[in-house]
Amino acid sequence: MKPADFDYIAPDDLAAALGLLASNPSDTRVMAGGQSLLPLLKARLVSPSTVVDLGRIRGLDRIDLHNGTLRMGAMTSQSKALGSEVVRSRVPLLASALRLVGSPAIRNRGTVGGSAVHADPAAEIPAVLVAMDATLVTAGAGGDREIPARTFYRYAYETSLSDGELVTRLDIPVGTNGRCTGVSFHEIAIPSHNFALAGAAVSVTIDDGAMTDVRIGLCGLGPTPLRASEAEALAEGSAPTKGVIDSISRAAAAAADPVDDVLASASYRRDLAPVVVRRALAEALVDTGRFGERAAR
Amino acid sequence: MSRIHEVAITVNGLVDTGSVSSRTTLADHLRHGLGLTGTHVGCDEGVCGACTVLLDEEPVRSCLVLAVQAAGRRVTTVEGLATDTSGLHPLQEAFRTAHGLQCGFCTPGMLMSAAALLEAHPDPDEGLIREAMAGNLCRCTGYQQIVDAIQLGAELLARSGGDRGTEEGRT
Repeated sequence: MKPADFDYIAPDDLAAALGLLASNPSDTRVMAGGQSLLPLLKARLVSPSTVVDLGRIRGLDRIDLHNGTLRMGAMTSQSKALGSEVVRSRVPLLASALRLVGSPAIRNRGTVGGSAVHADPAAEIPAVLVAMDATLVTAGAGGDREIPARTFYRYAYETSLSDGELVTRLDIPVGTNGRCTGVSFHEIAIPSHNFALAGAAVSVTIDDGAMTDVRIGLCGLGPTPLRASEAEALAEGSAPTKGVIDSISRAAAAAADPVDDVLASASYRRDLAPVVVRRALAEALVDTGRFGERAAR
Repeated sequence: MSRIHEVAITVNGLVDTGSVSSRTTLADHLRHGLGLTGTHVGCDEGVCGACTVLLDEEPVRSCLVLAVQAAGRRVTTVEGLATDTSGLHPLQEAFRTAHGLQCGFCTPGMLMSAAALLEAHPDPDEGLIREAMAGNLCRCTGYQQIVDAIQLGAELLARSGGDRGTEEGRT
């Protein structure tokens, strides 16, 4: 199907984009990379009168490190983020997730901010933002805000962005340094580039033989990305034995609240939950042994 | 702000100027506006990869890019792959030789994704090929011959010194 007709504008600066958005917020859609919005327009699930494309605004795709925080412009393409040495070395969990986002052609257009704001419950990037305690920096007529990822996601495709606001930057605290941190994003998707039925983002640090700073984010397992806090608490200070890993996986799965959809039933997803957590945690533990290689790069 | 836009897009090396409506995708503009029907539209929702073209040398889904977004940029379609108008690009030769297609519907997208892969990685292993091609669906081949074809294409390209299908390079 073809989209209903709309006015298209690609302003050169953020102020102009915010002005356009403020003038008619309920009937305007912001386009980042368009990889989610165009399918929505074609299916006529959304039919805005105006589409404001952020693609010609300079400076919204910068990546830098600032006081222990990776600051990534919302319009950074998923390919650019994946290819970034600072992302791979300082927020390897995001790099691990980005490899699973769409396919190469999708990642060339799709942006980290677009995926973060689209708030698809199956998407990888929101789960990483929640797991890493990231902050979404917004701009709007009422000024700039910083919204913690854990309160940003309200429901499937619903965020705490107000009318007239858009996300300009993602701030992700970089992991602990100098200790052995390992990460993995493990998901089950059929076929591989499809939306995840269930996925887990895990970061774990080994300190004196015990797990610490364990972070578990889940996607596809509820109306929003989830943080498995009880499972994290269970892991903290424990040695990573098979029995402990199984207990953590079951505890994380208890946080799941999946729904039926065309891809899978809720009960199947509930069965996948401990599987993806166990695999992601096991892979992250193996990855702790590679921490030295990453630090050396 | 408008529903009709005057655009200049460089398609296969030639600048094309014309007007497009906001809602026209790059895929539809190429096919219906410019008559370049080599780019195929399968699912029209970004899943199948048949419509893959290069936008400033990067593979993209042309069904998920608006024509107006390509203004001022370079687009390469399957028609622009071989620089020799009477012949095939080495990758196309390889697809023919290695039976990398049957019905051919997915082939233009396969070729563009593979061309971008070989540009970045002239000698990819099978894992890298499968990763790069994961977003291009084929219902005929079972993919093995496509992987074979891309490996053969890499060899043919290396043999021609990376010279992509020009008269000089096609000995």
